[in-house]
Amino acid sequence: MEIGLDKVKYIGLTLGFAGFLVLLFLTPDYTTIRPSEAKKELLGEKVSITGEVKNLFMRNGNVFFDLENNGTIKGVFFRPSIEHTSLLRNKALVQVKGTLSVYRDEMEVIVEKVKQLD
Amino acid sequence: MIEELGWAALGIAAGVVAGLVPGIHSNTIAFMALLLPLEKNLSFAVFLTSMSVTNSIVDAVPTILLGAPSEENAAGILPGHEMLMRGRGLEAIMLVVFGGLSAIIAGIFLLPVFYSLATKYETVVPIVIPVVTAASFAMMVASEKKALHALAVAVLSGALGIISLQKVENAVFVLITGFFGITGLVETVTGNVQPPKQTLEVSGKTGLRLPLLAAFTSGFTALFPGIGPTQATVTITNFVKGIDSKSYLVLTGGINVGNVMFSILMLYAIEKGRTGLAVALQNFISMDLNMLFILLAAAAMAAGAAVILTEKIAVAAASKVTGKSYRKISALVLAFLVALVGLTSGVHGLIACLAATGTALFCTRSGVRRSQCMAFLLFPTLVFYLG
Repeated sequence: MEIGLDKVKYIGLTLGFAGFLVLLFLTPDYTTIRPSEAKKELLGEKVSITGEVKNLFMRNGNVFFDLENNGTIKGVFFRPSIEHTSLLRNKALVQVKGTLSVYRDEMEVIVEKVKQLD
Repeated sequence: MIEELGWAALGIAAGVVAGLVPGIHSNTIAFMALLLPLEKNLSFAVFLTSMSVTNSIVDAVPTILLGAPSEENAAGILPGHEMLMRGRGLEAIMLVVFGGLSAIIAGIFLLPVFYSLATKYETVVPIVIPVVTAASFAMMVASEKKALHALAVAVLSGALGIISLQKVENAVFVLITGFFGITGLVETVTGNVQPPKQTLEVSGKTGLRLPLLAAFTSGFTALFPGIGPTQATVTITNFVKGIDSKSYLVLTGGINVGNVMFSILMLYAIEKGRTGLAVALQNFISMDLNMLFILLAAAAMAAGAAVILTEKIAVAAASKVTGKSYRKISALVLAFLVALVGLTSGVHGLIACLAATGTALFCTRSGVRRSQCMAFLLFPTLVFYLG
């Protein structure tokens, strides 16, 4: 079976569109919520939460903190990069993105990304 | 989601720019990108992947139209140049592009096969590589009419490869420039070599057997260390019959682009980086199945976009590479490559490049195929596996 080289761009268009759709489907879409809105119904959801960092401490390379913004939620960042670690400090205003989880009957966000806001 | 798509688009744009600059290869741009003051996260991984895949497709344009080889596309420079001189440079580029695109499509179906091979046989099958490489080298030399001259070229090239890879920075780029770039460019600048007016319509046909072969070969290239796309192309063409110039170009493109895709799979399967992209990604992401699919989707999207962009760029560029302007362009490219060798590899690099150019000149004047100079990669591969 042979294929004309003038048809290659159409194959490319099809593959590119397929890749675009898969990327659209697979990349996480974060829902913006406040700490007080983190309920068990949203367990496993990708969320974006803004707040002030409090009670920050590190243990075994993991960072634990509270995020306060008209309510408080616990946050944990497993083995963050140096850049992320430098952004997380007490009283810093940050936006965290991650997955809602529950630990010892308390809601928490398992952080994947941090962005400094102040 | 929007963020990742935006970074993918930026990666495609960056890959186009890098692909059009002669001598810049995907390993270099992957490492240079790591130096950018950007947050190293999923979006950046998507950017790097899109850029690498796009670069590996777009760099067919300077390789064929300007005779400026990259490390990955060097195998295609000779048949590509031959077609350029017959006014069919655009067809040569589209053959390389088709190879890359279809190897990605074929490779997607072969992913489970290579995942299985990687996780079960990674430590066992490399025994085959030195045998295959040695046999390929022997067949290359024996197929020449002037076997003694071919042997001399191969031994010289091989020795230069072994010494340079230890003593010279960016040795592969330096030697490829010397063996395959400078000789052709000097002939163009000093002689009366001018490509005829190029056919500006994309025409020609090709079969579907080769993309499958390219996908298989690139899978093995990504699986084993010490084997790059150029060595793999040269080796496979010594064992498979019926590979003409056009087929060679399809294979070159397919193995080059397929290698980038399979290196992402190898990062997931055996946690080893086999390309600059994979090594760069290893620095900041933890590879799970979701990440693998995201990066493969980014690669597919980038490949599709790169094909369309490359055709448009190639049509525009092919109309310019005729007549007296070609000599001026070649002189500029020659000066740029020599400057790049000097900047990246210093005096040692310039000496190695000069030695490679001399060997290539001896090769062409002796009536021996310049592909014998590929021994500069085959010898070090043998030493790597046997040493």
